[in-house]
Amino acid sequence: MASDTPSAAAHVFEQTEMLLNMGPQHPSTHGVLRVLLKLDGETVVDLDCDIGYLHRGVEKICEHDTYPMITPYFDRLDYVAAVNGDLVYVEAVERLMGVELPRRAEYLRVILAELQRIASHLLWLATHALDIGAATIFLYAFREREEILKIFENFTGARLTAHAFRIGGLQWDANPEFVRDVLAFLDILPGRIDEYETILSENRIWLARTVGIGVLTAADAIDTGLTGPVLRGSGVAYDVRRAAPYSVYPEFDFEIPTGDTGDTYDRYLVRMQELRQSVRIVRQAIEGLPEGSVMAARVPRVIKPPAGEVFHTNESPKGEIGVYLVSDGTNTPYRLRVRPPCFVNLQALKQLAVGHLVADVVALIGTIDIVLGEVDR
Amino acid sequence: MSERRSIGSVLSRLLLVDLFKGLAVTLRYNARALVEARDGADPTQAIYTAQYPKERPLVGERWRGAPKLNNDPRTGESLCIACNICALVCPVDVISVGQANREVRDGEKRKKKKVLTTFEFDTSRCMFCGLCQEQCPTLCLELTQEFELAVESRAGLVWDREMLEKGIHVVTYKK
Amino acid sequence: MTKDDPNNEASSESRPTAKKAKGGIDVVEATDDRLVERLRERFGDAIHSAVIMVGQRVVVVAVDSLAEVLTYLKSGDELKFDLLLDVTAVHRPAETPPFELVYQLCSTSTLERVRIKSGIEDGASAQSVTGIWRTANWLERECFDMFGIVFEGHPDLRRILLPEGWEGHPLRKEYPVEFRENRWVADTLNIHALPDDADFSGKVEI
Repeated sequence: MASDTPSAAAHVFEQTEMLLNMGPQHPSTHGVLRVLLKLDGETVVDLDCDIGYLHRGVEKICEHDTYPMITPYFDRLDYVAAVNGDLVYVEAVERLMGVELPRRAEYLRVILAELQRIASHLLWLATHALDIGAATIFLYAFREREEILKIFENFTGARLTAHAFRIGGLQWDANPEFVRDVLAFLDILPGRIDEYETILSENRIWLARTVGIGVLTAADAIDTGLTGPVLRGSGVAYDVRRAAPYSVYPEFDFEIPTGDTGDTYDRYLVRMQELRQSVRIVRQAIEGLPEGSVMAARVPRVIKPPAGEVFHTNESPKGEIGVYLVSDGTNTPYRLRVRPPCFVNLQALKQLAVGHLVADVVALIGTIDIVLGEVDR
Repeated sequence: MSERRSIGSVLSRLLLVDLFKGLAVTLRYNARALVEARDGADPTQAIYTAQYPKERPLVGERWRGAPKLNNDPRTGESLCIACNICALVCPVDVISVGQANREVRDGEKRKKKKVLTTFEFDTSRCMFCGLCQEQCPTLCLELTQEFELAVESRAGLVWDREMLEKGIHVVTYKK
Repeated sequence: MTKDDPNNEASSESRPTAKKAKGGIDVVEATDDRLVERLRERFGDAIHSAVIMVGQRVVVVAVDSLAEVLTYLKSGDELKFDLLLDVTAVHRPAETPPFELVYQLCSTSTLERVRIKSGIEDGASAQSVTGIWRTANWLERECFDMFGIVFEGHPDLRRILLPEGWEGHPLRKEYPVEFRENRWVADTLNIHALPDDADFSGKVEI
C-alpha cells in the first residue's frame, strides 16, 4: 500500500484476518469437534480447538459403579474401537488383582482386538479419503468393515459396543463358526488392501493433498506426546505391543511400520501397513488357538481388587490408551483415569495446521484419527 | 520435486496412468456386477446388498436386543424370583423390580415367598450391555434377537411386565 | 517396566499419601533401583519415597521440587524420559495434603517407565511442566478443569472439557454425581430444575 490517503484500491488490498468457525456440526470433524480458525486469506494463522461437547463424565461415573459395570462404558469411549477399550480396562483390573488368564482367553482377546484395529483403520481410511474427496474408497472400506462387525455380532452379541471381555476372561467361548469366518475374512482382506492402495497410493490428487502436509519431526511428535500411528509416521518405532508387552503379544511375529518424513502421506502408509500386520497377527493367533476354558478359575463373584494402584496401557488403533486405576479395596474404584490417545493427539492439530490452507485442516483432522467419544469422555 | 524424471514417468503422468489404474478397480467391479447376483450377503460378490426390510436379516444368536421375561414353559408362571440382581447390576438403572411377600401353597405346606409384582424396563436409556441377562440366576430376563425397537411415543419406550412377557409385535413386510 | 524384587520385604510405611496396601499387592521398597538411587543422590529429602507396586516404579516427590525432578528426568545426563504419557490427580479429602498429582513418564529409547507423584494442598499451585513437555498443555488444563489445581506458568490455563463459567470441579469427591441445579445450565441452556412433584418415571404423555 503506497498512498496514505484512503482509496478504493487501498481498501481492496487491506490485510484482515478472519475468524472461521468450523464445527461442531461439520461433517469432516468426525464428531462434535469445534475448531476456531484464524485465517489470513486461505492460510491458517492460528487455531483453537473447542472440545467437551460429548463430555459425559465417565471418570466420575466410574467412581460410583462396581467394577463389572464399568466395562460397557469403555465401549463408549472410542466407539469405533470398543474392543480395545474393553481390553485395557479388564487387563488393568486383572493386573491389580493378579488374575492369571487361560491361554485360550488371551488368544481370543488378541484376535478380537486385532480385528477391531483393522475395523478402526478401515473406518479411518474410509472417512479420511472421503474428506479429501476420494469417495470410492468409502464404500469399499465399509464393505470389509462390515465383515468384521458380523464376526463381532456372532461372537459378542453386538456390532459396535461389543462388551467383549469380562474381568477374568470372556463371557462366551467363540461361536462354532468363528474360526471359519475369521479365516474367510483374512483370505479376502489382503487383496482388498491392494485395491485400496491401487486407487490411492499413486493417485496424483491423493498425493497432492497428502504429501508434505502436516509434517511432524520425530522430536516434535514425542514432545507433543503423540502415540500410535501418528508417532510412527514420524519415524519413531514406538508400539506398546512391543514397548510394554501385554497379553500374549510377545508370542507373535509382526513388524512395526514407520514412516520417514512424518507427513500425512506417511501416516497413511503406516496405517495401511498396520492393516497387513494385524492380518498377520490374527492369522498366527487363529493357527495357534489353544483349547481350554475362557474364564480364569479363581475370579471372585464380587470383584474387589486389593488396595493399590496400577497404570496399564495398551496399543489402541489411535495410540496408547491407558487406565490409571486407584483401588481402595472396595467394590468400586477410588479413582479411574483414562489416558486418552485421541485427546493428546488432537493437541497436535495446531502445530500441524498453522501455515497450511484451510482445506488441509480437514485432511489433518482425518490424519490424526480422532474419535470425539474418547477426546471428551 | 527437483530430481530429473525419466521419459517413462513423464509419459505415465501425461497419460494419466495413475488415475486409470484406480479407475480399473472400479470398472472391474462394475463389469462383475453385470453378471453376478446383487442380493444376499456373500462378501466375495462384487455387489451385495441385504434387502432390508424386505428380507429380515439374521442377527447373531447372541444378539442383545429387546428384553424379555421368560415364563416357565410347563406352568406358565414367571421364572423371575424377584431377586433384584438385574436392577443392581445395571450401570444405567433402567430396571425396577416390584416385589411382594405372598403366601403360596406348596402341596400341603403354606409358606411365604417373595414374588414378582411389577417389572419395568426403560429401553430408552438401556445400552444393551447384557449384564442383566448374564447375572439372572433363573434365565428369566433375556435380551432377545429382536432389534426393531422404535415406537411412536416416549412412553412406549418404558416396558412394563406384561409387555416384557409377551414380547414386542414383530412387523413383517411384504416383498 | 521394572521387575518386582522378591528379596525385599514389603514396606509397611513410607507411603505418606497412599493408603496402606493390604493383601495380594506387593509394595516393595525400591532400594537397588538405579533411577531411584540417582534421584535420591541428587534431590535428597525431596524424594519422599520410592516403591515398586505391581511391577511399576512409583516415586513420591515434594511438590516444591517437582518441576526440577521432572526436568532432570526429561533431560538429565543419561535419563531420557521424553514421553509424558499422562498428568492427572487423585483427590483424597480425608488426608493431608488432599490432592496428589500423578505424572506418567516413559522413555521412547530405553522403554523404561516411572510414575511421579506429589501431594499438594487444596488451593496451592503446582509448577506447570508445559515448558518441559508440550503435551502437558491440555493435560494440565484438564487437571485444572476437573480438580481446580492451578498450574503456575501455564500459558493458557482455562477449562477444557467443561464450558467457561461452570461452577465446581467435577472430579473432587465432594462434587455429586447426580444432576443438581446449575446456574450455567439454567442461564445458557434454559434448563431448570424439575419441581418436587415431577414425574421421574420417564413416561411422557403425548
